[in-house]
Amino acid sequence: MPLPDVEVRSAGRTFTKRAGPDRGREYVALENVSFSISSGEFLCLLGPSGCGKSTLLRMVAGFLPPSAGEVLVRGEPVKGPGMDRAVVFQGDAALFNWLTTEENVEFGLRMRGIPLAQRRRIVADNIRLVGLEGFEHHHPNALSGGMRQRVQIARVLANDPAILLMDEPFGALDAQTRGIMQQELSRIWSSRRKTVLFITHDIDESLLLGDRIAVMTAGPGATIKKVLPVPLVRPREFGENFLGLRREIKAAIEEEVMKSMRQVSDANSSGG
Amino acid sequence: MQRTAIFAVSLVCALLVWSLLAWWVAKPAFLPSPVKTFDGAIELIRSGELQADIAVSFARIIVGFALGTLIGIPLGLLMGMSPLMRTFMDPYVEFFRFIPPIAFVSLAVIWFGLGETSKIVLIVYTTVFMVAINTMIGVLGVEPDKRFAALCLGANERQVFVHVVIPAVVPNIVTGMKIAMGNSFMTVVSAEMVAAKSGVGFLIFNSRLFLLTEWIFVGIITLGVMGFITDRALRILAATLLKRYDVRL
Repeated sequence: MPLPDVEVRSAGRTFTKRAGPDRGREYVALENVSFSISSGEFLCLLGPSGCGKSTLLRMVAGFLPPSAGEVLVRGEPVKGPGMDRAVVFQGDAALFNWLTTEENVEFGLRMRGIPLAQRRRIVADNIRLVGLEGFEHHHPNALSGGMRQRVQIARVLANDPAILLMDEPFGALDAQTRGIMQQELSRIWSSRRKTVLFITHDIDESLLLGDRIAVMTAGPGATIKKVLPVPLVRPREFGENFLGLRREIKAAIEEEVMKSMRQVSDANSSGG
Repeated sequence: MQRTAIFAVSLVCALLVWSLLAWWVAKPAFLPSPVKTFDGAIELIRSGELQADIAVSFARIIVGFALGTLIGIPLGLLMGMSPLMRTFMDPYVEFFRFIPPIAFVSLAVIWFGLGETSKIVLIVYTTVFMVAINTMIGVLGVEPDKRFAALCLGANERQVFVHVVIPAVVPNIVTGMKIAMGNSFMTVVSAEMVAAKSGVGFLIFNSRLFLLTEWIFVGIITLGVMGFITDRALRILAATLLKRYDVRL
């Protein structure tokens, strides 16, 4: 059996509060998280906000070490950020605002010392792939939110990583743009077949994109509640099967949301 | 167009108020009229004294400012990048923050004499301080995701520093330079008043001895114009050369 591209084995992450009245207190964000993603698979990590989805992605990316368990990429423990795992970040703070679209997409190639002619070709290909022709010389602040996310996607694809880690990449976009971006991503993924870890709190988004959906429990001590395969053909649309799956996931998620709301109200009543 | 018109009207208003006040006071040695001040300026220009003083003051500012910036940027980057360096420098930053360069004028004269060096050293001091602190704040403010993104794209630590940190910090450096430029003017004038034989500050201070109040006015107005021109020059330079870094002044 081939090694999975990403394997998380009973990983946990604890944070120590650095400020505030309860300074020094430990907060268990993630506990005993296990899942794996095989090569070329699109896994959606779905969970209520604040459950530690981003923390989990950052551990796979190598930005944050796990406090317990291990994170393996192709069988090797993750030691830090690496070129094999590209990250599409939630906001646009990760874009280089002093560089144009073209220069942003070129960044990785330039750092790696790829010759200019080859660089030009790869950059043009990827700009075309994400539909940003005509905006090559624009700076990020002259682009719309959807376009900035396209720049981020082109920037990581240009580097041809094996694994794509996407942290709610469309979370800040309006519903219309989000719909278009989801279709585009689905199209791009079909042509490039990367291994993807995609974080979202949007059930429909996870159903449109994922091969499998890992539903997370509410924090603290969040973990994977269940993993559901999505046996729908692409391109996907709202049909009977879609709605059936959606009901199932919705029930699971709602249970977690209620749980986290109860925790908040308990904390309030005991604190007050 | 409209802006220029309002600007002109504003200037005329100021001249009118000044003229009225001068006429009402009626003591040229106390408050010279705009006309008398203008005559004073012509007199100073004819003798070549004003140009010489401007040149001397400008030269001091430019040399001190340039040297200070050249030292301040790397120092600020170092303080931003290295927690050890930051902690090491912290007591000095907190201490010297409250000491204006003017406080060091006498000391500068004792150590470096009445010549150019003492003034330049003082300007270097104020510039290094402002530029280094603003640069450091900039480095500390670089979004961690920018560094992470670069690392994921295959950059090494050195490349992250050169291609991410430095470009991201350019706006902060320019802000520091702008504040430092204002401080340099204050510093050079105060230094020239206390210990110099030339410069606009010297002109202002020396005119007092002869009760040539209109010359004092000429000196003050000259300073304002010099500052205005320098600030504009800095803005235009930043807007053209550093356009891509999104420098806002």
